[in-house]
Amino acid sequence: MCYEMKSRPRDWFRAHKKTVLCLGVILGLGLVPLLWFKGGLLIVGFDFVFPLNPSDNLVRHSFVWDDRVFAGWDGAQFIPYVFPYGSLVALLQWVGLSLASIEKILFVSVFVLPGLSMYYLASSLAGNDRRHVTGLVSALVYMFNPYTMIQWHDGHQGPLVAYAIMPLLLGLYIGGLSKERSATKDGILIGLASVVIASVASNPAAWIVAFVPLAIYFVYYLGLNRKWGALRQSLCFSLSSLLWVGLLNFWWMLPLTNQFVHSAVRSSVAQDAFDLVSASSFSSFLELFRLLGYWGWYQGYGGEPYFSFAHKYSSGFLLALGLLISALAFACLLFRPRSKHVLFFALLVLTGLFLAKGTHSPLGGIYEWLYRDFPGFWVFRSSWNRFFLLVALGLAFLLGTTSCEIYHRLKGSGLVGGGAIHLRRGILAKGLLLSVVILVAGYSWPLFTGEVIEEERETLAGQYASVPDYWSEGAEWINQQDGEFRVLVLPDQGYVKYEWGYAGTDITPDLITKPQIVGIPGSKGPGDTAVLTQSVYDSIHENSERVAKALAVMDVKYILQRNDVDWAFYGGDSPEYMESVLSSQDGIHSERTFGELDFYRIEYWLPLGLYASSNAILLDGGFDDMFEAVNSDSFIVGESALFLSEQISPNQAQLAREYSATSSNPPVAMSFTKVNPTRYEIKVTGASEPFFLVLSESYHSQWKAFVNSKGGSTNWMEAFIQKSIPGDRHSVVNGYANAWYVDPAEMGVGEEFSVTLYYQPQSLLYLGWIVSGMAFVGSIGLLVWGLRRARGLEARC
Amino acid sequence: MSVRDKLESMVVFALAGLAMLVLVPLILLVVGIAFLWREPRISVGVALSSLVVTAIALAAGAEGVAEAMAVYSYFFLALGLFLMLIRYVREGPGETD
Repeated sequence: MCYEMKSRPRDWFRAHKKTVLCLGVILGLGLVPLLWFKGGLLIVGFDFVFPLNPSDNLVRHSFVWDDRVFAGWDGAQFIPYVFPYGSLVALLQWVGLSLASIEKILFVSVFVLPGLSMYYLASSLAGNDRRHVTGLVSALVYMFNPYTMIQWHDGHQGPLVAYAIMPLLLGLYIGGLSKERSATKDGILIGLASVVIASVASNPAAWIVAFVPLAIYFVYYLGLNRKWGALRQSLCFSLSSLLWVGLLNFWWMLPLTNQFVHSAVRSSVAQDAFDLVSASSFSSFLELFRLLGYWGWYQGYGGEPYFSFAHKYSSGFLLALGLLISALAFACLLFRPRSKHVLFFALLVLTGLFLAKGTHSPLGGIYEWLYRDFPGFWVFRSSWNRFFLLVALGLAFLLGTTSCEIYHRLKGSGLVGGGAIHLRRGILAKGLLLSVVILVAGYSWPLFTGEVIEEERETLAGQYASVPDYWSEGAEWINQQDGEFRVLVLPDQGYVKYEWGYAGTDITPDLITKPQIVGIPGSKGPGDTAVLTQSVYDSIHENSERVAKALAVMDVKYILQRNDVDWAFYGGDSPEYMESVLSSQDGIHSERTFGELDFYRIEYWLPLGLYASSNAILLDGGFDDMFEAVNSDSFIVGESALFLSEQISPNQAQLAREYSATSSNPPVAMSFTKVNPTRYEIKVTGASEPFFLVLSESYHSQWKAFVNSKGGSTNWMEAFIQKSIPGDRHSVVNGYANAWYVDPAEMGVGEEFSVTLYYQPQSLLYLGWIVSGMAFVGSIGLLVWGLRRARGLEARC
Repeated sequence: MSVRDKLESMVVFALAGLAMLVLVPLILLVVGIAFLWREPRISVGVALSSLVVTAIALAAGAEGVAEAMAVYSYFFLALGLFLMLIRYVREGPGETD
């Protein structure tokens, strides 16, 4: 018995020696990202947003209403961040790891996962005698190639995670389709694998594209197996897999779909057409066959290329090498012209090449037509970014197969000949195999040398940075200030370049936990808020005298002037000019300075996150007239509700007009609790007459006010069915915020009642969590049950 | 030579020219497809040769030629794959597959 127990691991190792060796090589080479780190510096910037405050980020993105930026906006696109990425990073921080250590773990994981996933796919599709060689070569090519090099350089970690799991998804799908019996287990595993890449769905196109190979394989499979039985079985399996994917990802799909339905994002498609054409201008077949074609590879800023090493790829050897790698991969069509899998992956590569080409000739009009007229295709604006991973996936498998074929043919196992000849052939075969791997991996040499992470250059920033201490001190001070208020962040730049080495998405919303008016790349915020914010920034730029009170209306208590921003890089005002403007403004006073950070206080600020107003002012006009109105004596911050006729409907304007004409509207007493960014509980007393309830968050039609006469509150489930204050009584106020006209008599409530203000899509998130949670428990239960059943059968046999 | 003879010779010349321009390429195309139909690997071989020529042209600085050859490579690969798929559907997998 004891001998048996001791010998089992040894037997197992003997039986799986080659697999262990292959996995060891993949895991070993997966440590390459550790070569990129320097001291305790973080690798940040460009498009890579690493959470500097992971636990705060996790809480912030657990709510569909993000009140941190833009005076609040629908943050459904960040919900997928919560799991697994946000939770994992927060957990590692909670365990006590430093940010640099967390980043190292993440980098290694994202680097090694594609190798493991590709090894699983390639080795399961190749024959028994070929699985190790095909698997290993495919895995290494999949880890080290120009696609991964470019994505690591630009910090596109989301697409890299999708890229990592894509072979696993495809392997499970092909495995499930090939089974004649029920393939419930494979369907569940596909669903669970799709949850691993859920965080990628902040960019839905990057998530969707991971399933494109499955869709192509489905069509391919049906084309090859045109029998009713095969069709029925494949349809059942595909639908059950789709169901598991849908149920397990319901928690983010529901709020994101709601956001999509309620946003005007589609209207920007026509404007993006130009970007589409310019992004495809470098993705010719020639460049794609060289495994390049990404627009950033060929461009730069201020005379410096974005990729400092790109020019080295213009040498004759590297020009030819890329093309020869492609040729070598396609050569397996010569060796295995009637292999189902080889034909599929060749089809995948050719489809990927055609799509990655985008609008580039020949036949570029097809992509443009799909983009403009095919529903939903507009999400694939950047053709190379979205589709070249299909090419990488297909080429990795084809190259693995070609290498294996050459290896086996050269090795000539079973051929007539002496031992010495056999040995020489073996050495030659292994040498050739090693050469192929070295050449392919060597084509992406910046991954090994660390050049893939840029150092700081004369104009362009590098990717190594450490946040200065004065940022921590300044953030700590402002975060400790009592009460709810906003901070206006200057200069107005979404992408920002700091003089201490960081360039990319602004770090302010990560470090300062108070709500703030700050630039976000790629978005200007909700419509009215964006216009008002721009007006405020313009007024500061022009040194207008009317700024302070307008800021108070936006609930801004402090201004943060960042003097460490390379203000000229993206265009803006110098710190000296900003200091002269802010110090000359009436109602703005310098409060504190931390290193390069200056904090100014707004004198007119009063806490006006939520208030009841009996003083309505209707202004016939728009934003141009608003600043003058809020600076007039009739407007009182925290008491008045200013309606702009251009922002509200004629009926709402009529209501506001009639209300403002009433001379004696008694003030209403109220107290409130902010439960979370999506929920406010309010108690109203002494409301004998109608009044306006003002919530100083960006206007959104899905903010609902539920009135409860008996003093209770409305929970998230009741929010689906309970009647709220009608939409025609909900309007834009103060240029950006929400106002509800509350008439106690009309509602049949007394002078004392309670109101729940609730951002309704939060209920969709809760519902999604319940559905996905149940699906998760069910899927694990089914897997365990299946495993036990299989073991039982095995034991009986 | 009479006018009629001249006209006749012109018509014959025109027909011969038309035959050269249209029929000969058409016949070559049909023969080529029949040939590729028998062996789709030829198309893939042409594509791979084109890729090698592309590499040489690119290294020699003839970018225009390289661009054109890369496009040819793509379409020859697509043609070869298409024919291989048809053969697979008709005849099934190979012995070693």
